[in-house]
Amino acid sequence: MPAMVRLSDLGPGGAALGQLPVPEFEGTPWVVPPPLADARVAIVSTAGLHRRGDAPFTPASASEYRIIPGDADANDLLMSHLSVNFDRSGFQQDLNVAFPIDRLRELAAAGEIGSAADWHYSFMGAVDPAQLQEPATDVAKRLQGDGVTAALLVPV
Amino acid sequence: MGGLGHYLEGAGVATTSISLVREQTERIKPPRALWVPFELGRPFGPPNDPDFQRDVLRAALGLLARPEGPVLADYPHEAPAGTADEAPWACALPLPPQPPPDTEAEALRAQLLAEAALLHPWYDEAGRRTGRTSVGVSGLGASDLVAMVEPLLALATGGAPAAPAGTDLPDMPVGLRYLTDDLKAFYFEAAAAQPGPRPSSHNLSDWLFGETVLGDVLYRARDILAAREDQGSRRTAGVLVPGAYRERPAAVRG
Repeated sequence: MPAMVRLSDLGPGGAALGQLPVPEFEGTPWVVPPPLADARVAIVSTAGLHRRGDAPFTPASASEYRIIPGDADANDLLMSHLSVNFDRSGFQQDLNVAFPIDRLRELAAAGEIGSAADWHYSFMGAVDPAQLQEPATDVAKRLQGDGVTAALLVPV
Repeated sequence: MGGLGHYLEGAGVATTSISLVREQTERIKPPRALWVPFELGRPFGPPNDPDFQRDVLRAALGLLARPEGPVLADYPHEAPAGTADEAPWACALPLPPQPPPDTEAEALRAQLLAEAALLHPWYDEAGRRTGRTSVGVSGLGASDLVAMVEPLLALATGGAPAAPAGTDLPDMPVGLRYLTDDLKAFYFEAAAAQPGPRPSSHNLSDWLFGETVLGDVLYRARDILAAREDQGSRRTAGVLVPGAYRERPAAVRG
């Protein structure tokens, strides 16, 4: 059994994580998706990703999201997350460490999923989650407009 | 992350999530989550290991077939060896000796630029190999290294940093965050491209903060900002050096 990452193992960054407010939810929503072989999957990241030339994330824009086209060039994706207390060297060497777009395309090509979405999204995680409710509801509409039936949520 | 699962699923989109901090996921109870025993920043495990990444992805997507939830499953495999902290790794470059503490600003500048110049061919090699670079959030590229380091050097040597011309950065010192993110990315991409064992994230950070001139400059700048009263300076001080390296490693030269 692997060692679990605990907040106390993460140094000051872990302490800061522990202080982030955790929203209270009554129950957990549940949508029954189609079988995986028919699913259209989008990635929704909280790594603070955006295209080169897009405005980087700032404290003032922390509840915004950025749009990542499914055919974006890997060299056009940057990370401007406000926290420095997580590893970026993995992402620097291989985009798929934090944004597994190539792996998703491979599963689509192999027929394991129906398709990869035309549009993916990134938030920047260092924010009170309650601030993300409105933009997340907006993203949900865009996902449905793209025919997405399952969102893969990826933190850093 | 778990909050997004609630919001998106509540709006009608099924979700499955990677969880890096199990305790948080246990509290938030998103619909479906796969906890993975990897370090923060690496939700799909090690770089350049597509088989492993694909397995993690399959495990996360597989939760969509569960009949009821919330589901919090544990991914059963640790990240493969080769990225272990104990793996021997050392930057092969002959980095220039660091100046004694009271060296003039120009000497520090020359040494930082010499260090960056030594790394530049390996940075270029990394780009040829991967077809990409993560340098650029400041609006500058590796061809603008001199402009990228000047504000940091100015601050570290007691001067006033000015935003490089042609950038749209926030006012100094707040804008230093993006310049230092780019400098760290330049150093890490260059160091990871060298022949030999693949460095872990800790290898790379130990090297940058313990052995390089850039690390020394970052500590100097951090100390100056941390001693100031304004919020912008204090916040920026907190992002020049990660929390895990708050204390200067003993190996830091100078």
